[in-house]
Amino acid sequence: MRPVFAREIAELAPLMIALALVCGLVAVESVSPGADYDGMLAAVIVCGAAVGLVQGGLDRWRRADLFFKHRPVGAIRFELARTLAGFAVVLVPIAILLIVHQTATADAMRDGVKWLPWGAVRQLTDGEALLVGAAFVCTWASVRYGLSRPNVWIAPLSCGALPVVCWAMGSRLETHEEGASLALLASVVFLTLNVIDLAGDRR
Amino acid sequence: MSATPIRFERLTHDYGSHRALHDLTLSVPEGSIYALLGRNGAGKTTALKCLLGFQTPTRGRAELLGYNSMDLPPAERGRIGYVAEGQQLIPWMTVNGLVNLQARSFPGFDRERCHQWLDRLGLPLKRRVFRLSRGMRAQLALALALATHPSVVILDDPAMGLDAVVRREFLEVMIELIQEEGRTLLFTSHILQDVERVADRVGILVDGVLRVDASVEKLKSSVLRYRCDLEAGPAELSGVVATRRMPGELSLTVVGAAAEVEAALRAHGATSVDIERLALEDLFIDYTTYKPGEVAA
Repeated sequence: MRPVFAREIAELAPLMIALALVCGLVAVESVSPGADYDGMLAAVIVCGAAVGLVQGGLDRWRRADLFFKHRPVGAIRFELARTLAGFAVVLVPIAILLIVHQTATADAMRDGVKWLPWGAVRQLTDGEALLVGAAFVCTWASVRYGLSRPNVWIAPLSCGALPVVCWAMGSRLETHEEGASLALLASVVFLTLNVIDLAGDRR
Repeated sequence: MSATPIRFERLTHDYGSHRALHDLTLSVPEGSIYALLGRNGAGKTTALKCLLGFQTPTRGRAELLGYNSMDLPPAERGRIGYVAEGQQLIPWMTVNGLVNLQARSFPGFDRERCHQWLDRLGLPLKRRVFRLSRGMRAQLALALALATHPSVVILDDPAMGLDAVVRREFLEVMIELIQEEGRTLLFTSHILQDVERVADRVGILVDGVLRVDASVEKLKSSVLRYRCDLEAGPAELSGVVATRRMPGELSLTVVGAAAEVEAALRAHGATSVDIERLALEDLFIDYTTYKPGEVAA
């Protein structure tokens, strides 16, 4: 399982680095005066979709990659390893985003010094942070699942619409945690369906 | 190990409304080298994919090492060496990266041996796969497959796209590596001279139907071409593989005892009957190109 995980990570590494940089910049930007939290949410949805598109593309390519598929690993474990690798790739930019954002804000509040030239104005609440992370994961999972499906054009559009719906619902729900829970639940469903689907395809 | 490590039982596979394989039944005994032949689209690759469990048969079953291919345990998969059609590898990895990947994936992988082969073949370890020539890729794919010490080797057109010189080298390496440990080998190929040199048995697929399953020697001795001065042959003649008519001449490729076929032709009025032993390539062409047709036109 480890070689499959490592191989997938290696293939997604350039994207992970690029997204980590983007998320770092988004986090810095989000603490500037006038910046709002919705912008950050939009950015992570785009980043999640990017990982989903690339990994979904790899899923499609892997269908015909018999050299890689022919390994002494069960089909479910094989696809689980790839999914975990995708999750790890998603977690790194999320972590960068939240750490940079929280650190910048906390520093500014504690020291009273604006270490960023434009200053820190607000701190992300736990609920908001959870929703940002959940939106990222949900977009990745839904777009990847959509793209892995045979009907390449319709599936990602319909699946990609889900996080947008969640995002829209987030503002109507009582708390951010509710929106995040919804997005995480949808992610688990998409990831499970994807693993079963791909494992079935390998057999 | 099972005495028949490879077995197909009435395996049928459909792609939508197209039937790629129809009731394929064949067995490859342990230690033998079996060549599965057929024109493009005859169903060879589909058969191998079903055998490896990469495709679910519509009907019937395939068995590998005594297990149904669809339930092949991971440990058993590790005992199978496989080279996919077109020497599929991961193009952006280096040769050494691929060796490491295989070594971490397959418990029985012999890294030292693999490096020895790669040295002998002159494959640069640091070069990326997409920078290798086709011949190098083919040799790399073979070395990676065989370094796992497999009990069964499955090669899908391993020499495809190689020029004559590289193919010869490749074939020599293949023979040497396979004969070393008496492995069971199933391979597909379009290059009949290679098949003739290597294979114990051959199967010929025509439009998804296995029309021949015999040892090379038996096939060559039992299928003969008869040329006679007739316009039409005897209707009762059985075992006709191919019929060709030319002005004043009838050419028949027939499976069966030569004396009986000749007698039947002479009884039908033929004054001269030439009997020709066919090379495997001619046999293949007759099986796959010509129809048995109506002998008595």
